[in-house]
Order: sequence, then structure tokens, then C-alpha cells
Amino acid sequence: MRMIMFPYGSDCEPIIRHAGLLDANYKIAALVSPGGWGLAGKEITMKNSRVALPIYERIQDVTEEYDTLFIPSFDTLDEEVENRLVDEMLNMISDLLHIVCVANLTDKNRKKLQDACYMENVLCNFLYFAEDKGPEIYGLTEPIEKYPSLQTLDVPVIIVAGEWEKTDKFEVSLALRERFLREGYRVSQVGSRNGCEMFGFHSFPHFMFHKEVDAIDKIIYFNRWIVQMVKEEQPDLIMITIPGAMQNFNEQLTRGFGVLHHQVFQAVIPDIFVMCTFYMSADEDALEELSRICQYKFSVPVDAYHMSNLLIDINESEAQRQIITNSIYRKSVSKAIVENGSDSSIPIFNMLEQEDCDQMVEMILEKLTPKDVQIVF
Amino acid sequence: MRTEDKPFIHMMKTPLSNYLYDVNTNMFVGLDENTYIHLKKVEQGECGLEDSDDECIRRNMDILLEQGFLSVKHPKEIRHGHSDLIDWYLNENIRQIALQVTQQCNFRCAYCVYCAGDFELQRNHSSKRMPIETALAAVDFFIARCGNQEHPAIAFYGGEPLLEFPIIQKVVEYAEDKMYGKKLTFAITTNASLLTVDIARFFMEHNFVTTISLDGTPETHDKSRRFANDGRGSFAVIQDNLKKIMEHCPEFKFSFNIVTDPRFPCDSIHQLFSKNSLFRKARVTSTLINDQFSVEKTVPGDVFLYQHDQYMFQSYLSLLGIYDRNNVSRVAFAELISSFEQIKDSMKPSKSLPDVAAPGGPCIAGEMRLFVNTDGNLFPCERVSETSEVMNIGNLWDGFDYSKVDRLLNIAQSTAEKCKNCWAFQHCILCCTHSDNCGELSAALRLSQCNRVRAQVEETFRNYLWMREFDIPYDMMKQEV
Repeated sequence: MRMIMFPYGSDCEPIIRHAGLLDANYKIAALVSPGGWGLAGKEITMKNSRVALPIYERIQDVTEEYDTLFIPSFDTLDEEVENRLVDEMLNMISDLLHIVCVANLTDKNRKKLQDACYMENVLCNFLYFAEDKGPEIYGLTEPIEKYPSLQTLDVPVIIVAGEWEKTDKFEVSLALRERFLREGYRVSQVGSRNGCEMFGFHSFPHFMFHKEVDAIDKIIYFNRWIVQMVKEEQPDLIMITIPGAMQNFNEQLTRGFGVLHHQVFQAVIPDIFVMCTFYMSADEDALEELSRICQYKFSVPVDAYHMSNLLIDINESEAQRQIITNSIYRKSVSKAIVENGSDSSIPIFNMLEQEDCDQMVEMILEKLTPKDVQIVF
Repeated sequence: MRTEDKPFIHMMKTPLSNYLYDVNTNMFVGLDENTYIHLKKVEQGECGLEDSDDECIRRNMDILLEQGFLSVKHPKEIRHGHSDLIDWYLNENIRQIALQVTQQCNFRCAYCVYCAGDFELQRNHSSKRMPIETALAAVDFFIARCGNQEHPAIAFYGGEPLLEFPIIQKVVEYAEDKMYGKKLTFAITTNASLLTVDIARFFMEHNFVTTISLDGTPETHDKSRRFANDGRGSFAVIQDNLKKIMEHCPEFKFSFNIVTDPRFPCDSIHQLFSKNSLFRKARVTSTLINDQFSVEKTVPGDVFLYQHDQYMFQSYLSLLGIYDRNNVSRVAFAELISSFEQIKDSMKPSKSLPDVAAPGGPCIAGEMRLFVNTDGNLFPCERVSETSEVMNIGNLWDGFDYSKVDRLLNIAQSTAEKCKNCWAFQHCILCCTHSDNCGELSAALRLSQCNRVRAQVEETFRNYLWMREFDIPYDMMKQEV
């Protein structure tokens, strides 16, 4: 499939940077970003590649050949805006063979696309988190006993979580995957986004969002699902990235209260915990405090931080009752880490930098290497 | 006692209580009378914290110190925390752009800063209009620099922007097409003399926020706001236009902005916007005449002050439930709420002031509301003088002059020693425009306004404390609005 990606936003950057990890069936041919998103006219380079993909403003401007429309997840706070974007998609359907959609569109827009695909004989594949898919579709049919117990894992587990959404969890997990695969490790992985199957690993399981599955059952099912995965895939390590925010920001900004995180940490005890944070001027006290909070909440301290470029606008966030963030330049992150974070007891990385990525992998491998022999002088 | 040995505090009283404002933590502490008197002496350098025979006072000092208050810390260096991010803010995060589509106006308002004569420090009305190429280039400039904004906005400004309605139409059409994928808002401030039913419909179809300048009853309004061609008052024309619009599209939403001349009584203004059915539906904001660029400064009259205070007092009483809310002036109530909003946003507790910090006031010039004049020159916002060289922060073709923006953001460096020791540090409202002295940034001009600002901050503090003393929840006030 030669894919045109629309609407391309900054959230899609990890997909392009790590396009080399995509299943061989998927080739990204072109990117199209709505004019208002401020990306059209720019270029993005894939990691380990000299090829720069141009970002077009309109689908009709694309000169590359394509046969598939890939609709990534995108946030619009306004239904009118989504309608407008879907209208653009409908206009191009006759040029397509496939649509792969991981965006959680409104029911109305999803149906519009499905109907149009049916009329034009286009194969339409929706891969989004559905709240109505239970554990049985994952082969988890064993009933859960009254006082269930967890099964232990003999494979090291890395958990990547975020202080909030858009703190680069997906980028970090792809960067780590890339490095571990290159080193020859077999990695079983659960991603935080929809459509991770395109990268050859698992999306976060739908049953964890199912409203009718009991909270305790979710923990047991998740544990069993991972155990099942280990049996089937025989990995050297497991990496799990948890979607969303690890806790509420304050009374107004709750975003799931970190319930999903609690469930995952109950189901699987990690050997390595990587936390993705907001941008801050590498405030060591705040990062140590965050690690303490994780110790209390999840019984696991933080092993390493990735600092994202997400700067929170507290005044605007409280006024609008949602987190309003600014994604500042990446170079500012590295600068803040060098200037203020070099003495931190918990290492801080900017995983978009190759050197930092190498150091984090080195640190993880060092921690995971068994130390059966202690040399005593 | 040396400044660096004194706790960084400010003492104040309300009719009901005594307070310590702790600058480092940005918090208030309620105190008994004796402790207040002692700390007042400390503030004035008459004694040290421990210099008291009263055991109760000494114990209170210990408690306050234990709880992190009374720190002697002052910022060591004045530098705004966003200084290193200026290029990012101006390349990715511009919130709004305001286009001066014309420098012409069909009014000649007595207090207008663009009228020739008294206002020597600002441009004059002229027949200059923004060429459509410049207007579209401004939209492109904005698109390239607002990628991080969920709700970008384009505003139209003048002169009277409706004199160039065809340009506005073209800009709206162009921007909506080019900025698809975002919820775009437009805004306009107009004198409404050219506002028609068709234009109102256009505004509704294209998500406009419309602000109409109106100064009160015919007598008050017409005193200042007159047509340029024959000098007649404009109230009747505006009223007729609004009546027609309300008749044909009653769902048209707009707000009024009142410019109050404090030399005259304000009774009729409060009455009009509270009682008249045509005017009481819309939101109201009010400002005093801007005499920043005027040679002659405006001095409020006694009658104005008396009437203004009376309406404000009634607003306070209505919050306590002892004055009928329906009889309160909407203008005064809006002013009261605006004052609470301002203080609420700025009362965020902190551990202590950082070593490197800047007083409140300046924003990143151009980020909040980038103003583009008819020639395509860029200014921090529409409130600054367009003839001032220091305020010109670039143009559409060469982009921003970041060093100028840095200088405007860090304007407090010119008064660093005073600012570091000022108790109103976190609540200052002086920005670059307050230092603009005929095209040069003047530390003396900035300092000349410090007493006024401190008095204003103290007044706002009192209002805030009053609200806390009577336990009026902020959300309840918002509901009232």
C-alpha cells in the first residue's frame, strides 16, 4: 500500500520518524496537513534516512503516487472542523484502493466514509479503540474466579507512561523498540495508540476501555493477556506503553484520574519504569517528587525520565477547564537538561536525540542484566 | 535596617481585618492587631522581627517563619522567564492578528488618539488603506506562525474598519479557505454607523465577535462621538442601525465597549446599559479615556467619582444579597467582576520568588494580538503608538526583530533595582507602552507610574480580601454575570 497520510499533524511525527519500523506492506508516499495546522510547506525526515517527505497543504497538490488513505488519530475540538476534513477525504475516494483509519471519528462521519467506500469499491479498515469489544476477542475466555491471583512473568517488563497526554510516550516506545530490535532482542510490545499493528505490535487492548468489564477483571485479563503473549511470542522483553495521563492534574483537570495506569501496574510489575514528563526547566525537586508519587501510587519508582517539549499553560488551562499546552522547540529541552538536570539522581533524557536514546538503552540493559556475582574487594 | 535584611512583605488593612501580604509566597495572612502593628514597624524598618517584648508576637513570628513566610529573598536579576522562548512563541504560537484595514474614520471623537492636535505621540487619521495584497500577506504570515493555537483569531481594526468592508470580506474568504482544519474566529471593533443587516448576517455566518463602541446616552455619546463630515452626533444613527438589525436578525450577538470620560458625570451611562431594552441585552465593557499619548492628562471630576463609587458599592452589596441585583448597574458589575478575574488569576501561591524573574506587566510583544498596520509593519498590539520606532517590531516581509521584542519583554531591566524591591512585583501592570516616551523607552516615565500602580494593586487586593472575608464563592459571581 502506498499511503497518503491525511490529516497530518505534529502528533504523527513519531510515525514518520520511525517509518522504518512499519510493516513492509505499508509505505508512506505523501503527507497532507490542513492549512490551519501550520505544517504545510515544511518537510520531515525519517530517522536513519536522508529522504525528506514534503508536507502538502491540499490532497490535490500531491504529486507522488498513492493508492491508500491513512487517517491518523487527530484532535479537533469542533465537529465542524472534522466534517470539513472528512469532506476532503470523500473528494479523493475514487482515487483509492484502501482506507486505513485509526482516527476515532464521529459515527456520522465514519458511516459517510464507509458508504462512500462501498460505492467506490474501496476497502475500508477502521482500527480505533472500540469500547464495545470485550476480552473474548483476545482469546480470554476463562472465567475469573472469586479471588483471582496474578500470574508472574519471567521476562523483563518495561513500562512507559506519561505525566499527561502528548508527552512523547509513543515516540519513546518506538525509539526503544528500534534500538532493541537492532541489538537483536525479540520484543513483545503493547502500544498506547490505535493501529500499532501497522508497526507489528499490539494496540492497547479494547477491553481495558470496556465500560461493562469490572475494574478487577480488567487487571486479571490484562495480566493473562500479557502471559498469553509471552507464551506465543517468546520475547526477550516486554514493553508496555500506557495511554493517557498517570493522574489528574487538579480538581478541574481529571482526565481519567490515572485509573488505567493503576490497573496496568497492578497487572504487571515492571522492571524498568520510564516516565515522560512535561517540559520544565529540569526542576530536579519536582522530578524526585514525581518519582515518589509513582512509588506511592504504583509501588514503582521512576528509573528514567524523558522530558517532552510540552509546556503547560496553567492560566489558560484552568480558564478553559482543559489542559492547554504549547509544544516548544525541541532544542530547548536538551538545553534545559544540560543546564539544570545533569546532577539529577534519576537520569533525564531527550529521546529525540540519538545520543540520549543510546544512553537510555544502555542504562536499561545495565539494570536488566542479572548480577549473580558480586565482586568484593 | 537594610532592605536585604527586611522580610519582603506589605502590610494592609481592610475595614474588618489586618493582613500581611507575603511577596515571596504571593499569599495573604490574616493577623491580630498587635502582630499587625509589629510587622508594620518591621516593614517600615523601625525594628527587627524579633524586637518585641510581647511573647505572643514573638511566637507568631516563629509560626510565620516556620510556615515559610517573611522570607527576605528578592530576585537577583530581572529577566522574563520566556525570554529564551521568544522565537518559538512568535513562530508557532501567535494567538491573534489585528489588521488595520484603514487609517481613516468617519468619526472625529473628542478623545480619539488618532485625531490631530492634542495627541502628538500617535499617528493621525489618514486616507491610507491596507492594500489587499498586504492583507492577504498578513494572513499568510499568521498562518505560518499560529500552528500551536487551537483557536486562532483574526481581528479587523481601523480607523473605522467597516469603511473597507470589501477588504474584510476578501480576507475572511481567503483565511477560511487557507486555514481549514482549525476553528477560526474573527473579531471587529466598529462604531456601528455603517453596520447594516447584511453585514450583521455576514458576521454571523463567519463566526465574528463584534464589539460596538458606544459611550452612553445621546447626550453623553454625542458629546464626543461625532461624524467627521458635519460634526453631528452619531447616537441616533447607531440606534437606528441596531434596531433594524435586531428586527431582521435578532440572534445577532455583539457587545458594547464604553469609553468613559471621567471629567463628566457617569449616571446616564449606567442607566442606559441597565434599563434600555435595546442596550441591556449585550455584554458591556468599559474603559476610561486613554490619555497615554495625550499632552493634556484627564483628571476625573468629583461628580464622576461619587457616582462611580456609588454604583460600585451597590454591586458589592448585591453580592452580599442586601441590594436587589436587578437594580445594579451592569457597567459597574462588569467592572467589579473584571477586577476579581484579574486578581484571581494572579493569586497563585509560590514557594518563593526565583533568583531570575520579571515583574508582571509585559507580554511577549506580538504573541497575544499582533497588530499589522496598513503598511504591513508589525506592533505588539493596537494600543501602542504606531509612530514610535521602539514599538515597531518588524514587518510582514522581513519578519520579527527579536532583539526589539526581547527589549520590550524585559522593559523592567531599565528599572531593575526599584522593581526587585517593590512589593507589587508579581502584580505590576506596567508594560512597554507605559515606558514609551516619543519613540524611546524611558525608565523615568515608567517609574513615574509606580505609585499609581501600587495604589491600584492595593485596591484590588482589598476587593479580593473583602470577597474572602464574606466568603463569596467566585463561581457564584460568574453565575450572576
